Amino acid sequence: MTDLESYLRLQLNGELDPLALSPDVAAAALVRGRRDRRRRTASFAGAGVGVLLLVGLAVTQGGGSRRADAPASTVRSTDQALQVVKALSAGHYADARTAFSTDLRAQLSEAGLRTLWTGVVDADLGGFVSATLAHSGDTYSGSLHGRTADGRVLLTTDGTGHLTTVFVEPSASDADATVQVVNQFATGDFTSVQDQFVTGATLSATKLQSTWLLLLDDGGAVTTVGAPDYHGSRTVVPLTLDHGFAELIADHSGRGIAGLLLLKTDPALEAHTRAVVADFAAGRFADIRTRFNERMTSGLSEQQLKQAWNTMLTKHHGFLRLNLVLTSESRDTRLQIAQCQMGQGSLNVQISYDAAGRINGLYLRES
Amino acid sequence: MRQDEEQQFREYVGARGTALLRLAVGIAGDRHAGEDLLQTALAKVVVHWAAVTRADDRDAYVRRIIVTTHLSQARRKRVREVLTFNLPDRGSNWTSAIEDRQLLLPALARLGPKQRAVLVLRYYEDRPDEEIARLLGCSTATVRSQAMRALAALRDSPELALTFGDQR
Repeated sequence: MTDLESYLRLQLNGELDPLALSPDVAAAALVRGRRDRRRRTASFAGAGVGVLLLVGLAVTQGGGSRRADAPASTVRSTDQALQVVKALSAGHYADARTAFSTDLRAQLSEAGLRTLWTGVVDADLGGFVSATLAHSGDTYSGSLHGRTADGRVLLTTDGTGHLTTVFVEPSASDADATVQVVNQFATGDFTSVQDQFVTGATLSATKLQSTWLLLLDDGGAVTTVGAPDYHGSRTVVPLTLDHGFAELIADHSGRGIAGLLLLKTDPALEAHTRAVVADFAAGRFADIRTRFNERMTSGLSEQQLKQAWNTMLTKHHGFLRLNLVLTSESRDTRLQIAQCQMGQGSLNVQISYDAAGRINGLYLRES
Repeated sequence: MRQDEEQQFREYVGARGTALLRLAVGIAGDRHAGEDLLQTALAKVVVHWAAVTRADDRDAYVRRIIVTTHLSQARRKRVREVLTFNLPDRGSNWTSAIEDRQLLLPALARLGPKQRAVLVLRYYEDRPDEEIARLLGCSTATVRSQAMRALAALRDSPELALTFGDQR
């Protein structure tokens, strides 16, 4: 046995032996297990009033002739996802189903699709008017505008572009759910927060609690919960604290929360970062350099900045918009990550600021 | 699940939960991820409790659920959103403080999920390679090669390279 193996054995024992199980694990596992059992036995038909939620894996092509304006049999762009929504809204359910996975097609007949779609869009929204979709990974989500009300639509695809989930709902319940999460944090109901996670890899209640308490320790009590804001599948709820600001950002998959961020924010610094991104977008590289500290000014020329940005523009088919700005702090440095939507993919503009508010680090990172 | 089965389950977790937690934390890479892995695995145990109680070796059955859950979560994380409270791009601060055993789990965490599981099962649980192969659903030769590669990767890790880097 090598020394490394002895070291491993010793350190693993030292690391793992002191661990003890908290007493509520069995109870929590029972709750989740019971819920999973119910999910395994529940049929699709019970997906809920006004909600269509389906999951599948692969695809088979439907027979019959196709319309000229029929959606593509795979969804790989926002336009193609929009085509599916338009086919559904036009009552061309067979056309929409050509993009479905095998399981999705098996679970939902054309007649069933009609019943469920009209149950939401016609009954709750007063009929389809238009839809806007945004793309994030394998998810296409956005708003459905009806004659009497607005709703939400979410499509997810597998790796081959076939639809595995179609989700429609009559109201902005993602926003409601995210505000509810804030309330659950505030009341210490961390188990209910966990219940909304869709992945097996959930954050533990302990971690949720400790992160929330850290935020309160630092910023004081939450005084105001702001209006939720949508960014694709993400809902951002701004929080005002006694001594600062924060954001709760929830990423919704259509079946629950697939991502959660609780971040302190700095509105003034965020405005600064948005201005830098606007300068990039407008090609005002000299203006960006005026915000640099001495070291950055001497190390990064206007030409280098221009070259780096233009390389990204070429590679990602141009800059579309700035989505979110995230904040992090580490000792004297404050880091902001500006998530930019590009023509193809996304780009993080990472900017770090020194204590005086000057830029002391800048990084363009493809994501 | 009937009430008597729930009671059996609670008693089982009460008796074996801590050992299972240690395994879960070891292969998941940190305390929180390990607790979450164990909770997810135990929820599966609840769903399959009848089969678990019929198994010759109940512990082996549950260990296999933990390991396969861990591997499937790792596969899913490659393509899905990962839950996080930390910005993903925050820099790491490497040190060579080998005496700080807190650095071992982060070093392990950078290994592949299967390699990590092999090392924990081999060096913490002292399982023979044949049993590890059954738990992971692979051949004994694969276990040995995974272990060899994992050890090589640890020797090259920033934390351990100074001490073990020359042991090849």
